[in-house]
Amino acid sequence: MKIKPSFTFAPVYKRWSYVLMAAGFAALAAGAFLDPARMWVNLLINNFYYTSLALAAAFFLAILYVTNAGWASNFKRVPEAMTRFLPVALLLMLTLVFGMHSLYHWSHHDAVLHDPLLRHKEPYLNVPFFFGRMVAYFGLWILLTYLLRRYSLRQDANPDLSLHRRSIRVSALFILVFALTFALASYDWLMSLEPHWYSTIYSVYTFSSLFLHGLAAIALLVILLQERGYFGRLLNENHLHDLGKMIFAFSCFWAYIWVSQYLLIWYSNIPEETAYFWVRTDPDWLWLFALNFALNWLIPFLILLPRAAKRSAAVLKRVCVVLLIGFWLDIFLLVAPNVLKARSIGWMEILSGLGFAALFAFVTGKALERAPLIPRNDPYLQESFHLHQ
Amino acid sequence: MFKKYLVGHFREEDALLGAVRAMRERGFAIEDVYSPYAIHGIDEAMGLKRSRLPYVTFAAGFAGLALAMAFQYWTSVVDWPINVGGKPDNSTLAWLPVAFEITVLLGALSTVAAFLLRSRLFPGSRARVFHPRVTSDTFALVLEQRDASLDEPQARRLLGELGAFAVESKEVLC
Repeated sequence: MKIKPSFTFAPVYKRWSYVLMAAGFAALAAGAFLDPARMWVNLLINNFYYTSLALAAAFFLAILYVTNAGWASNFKRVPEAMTRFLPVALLLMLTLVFGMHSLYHWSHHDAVLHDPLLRHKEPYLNVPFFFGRMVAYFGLWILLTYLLRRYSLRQDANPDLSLHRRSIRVSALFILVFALTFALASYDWLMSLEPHWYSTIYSVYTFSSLFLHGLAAIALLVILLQERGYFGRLLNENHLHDLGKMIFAFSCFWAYIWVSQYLLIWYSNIPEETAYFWVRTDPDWLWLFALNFALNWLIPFLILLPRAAKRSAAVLKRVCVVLLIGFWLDIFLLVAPNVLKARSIGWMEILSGLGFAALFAFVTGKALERAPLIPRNDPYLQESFHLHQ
Repeated sequence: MFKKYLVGHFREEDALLGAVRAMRERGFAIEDVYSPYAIHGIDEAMGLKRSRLPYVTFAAGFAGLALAMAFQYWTSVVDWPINVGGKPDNSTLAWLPVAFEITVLLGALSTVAAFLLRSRLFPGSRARVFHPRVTSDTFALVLEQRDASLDEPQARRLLGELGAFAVESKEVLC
């Protein structure tokens, strides 16, 4: 069987992504007139969702580099392409300039005046600094992921190991920068929606969600490419097995962090902290709260438990879809109950979610198309072709 | 009880792998293979089935989970309910740490016990040593000789052709 050397973005998928992007944009535009708060909630959810996926892809690459892991070299162009969404994500995030007052209670000047806690937090939580930090985070992420991608592409023409060594150094730097900036970014963008609430495990929770669902997105894209005849025999069921094991492990990690946060707040029973769960276990939200736990842990755990399931493209693909829907719900539950009075999942959520998915797929597909699919001079390429147990 | 075996000794890993494949292709049932270290691909070559140990782990772990949840329910709801900070007696989520630990404990201990029993590693069991050197630098391919279908002269000839430096009959106490 002949290996297709590079990815071609079939016109039919391009057309579909245009249609879905247009539908998503129309839904958000209509929402801006009908229910601006709900529109901004949707924008924030999806921005955070796809920023997380792009960052998870970069983190995945960085881990491969610093640990000298070779098993994933044959499909590393997929996470590389996913990181190319970050510049788009920055532009979308910056539109929050217009939605600050709908989303963030602390952005209202008179609310801060009459609230000692918000006054205390004002040196950090104010609109100019908020956007200054946002640009700084994205600046660092875009710079470092750009370097990783560039070294990898230059390596295709230059088999010298020096580029690989430089990638390792950039990766180590990225991991440090990512740990700090992503924790701050989740405080800024999500946790500050509820500035009176405290949870010291919050950024661990958002990180666990980011990496779990980033792995699911990488696995899904790899399986979709493989089904269309890319990779051929250069990628075997052992790669899927390894991805499946990581998804399984990080699903358990996510559940562990979820329970840790819940349990500590439940035990200490401090009103400021329990308010968070009080809202989310209200009858209006309770079934979504339970569904979140099922989609992100219970279902993937039970399905992926047998070895054969992790090695089957068909099973793994479906679990990844469940997880990616679960990711949306997870962020929805972090954002929506703070801003909106009532549960709201309808045409606006579905259309904008699909629109963003299409946008992400479009940007990733375009980036994937621009470079050969197999990084021919990666020092671990042969090792990854012959991955076995 | 003594059993008779036909043992082929090899010096090379590749020769052993090839011999395992060739003997199975000619219809010989391989009793076992002894090697100083783990050999890649030997499981497939010998046609070994996957271990059933995970089923023991799952069953025992699930039993541990059910047991721990039931016991905590009994102590804190049925037998001796205590009001702690006004929280409900049946606070299922708060029982998770204990339930998790018992699940892991029972699952792990049962797995180890099942493994030791199945591999005959218990006090009083005898090790079957076909040659002291298989723990150092040679490999042994073992065929059971009481097997009615075993054609001994042919097996000896084949093992020699496949690279065995020695072929011997051995009686081993099981």
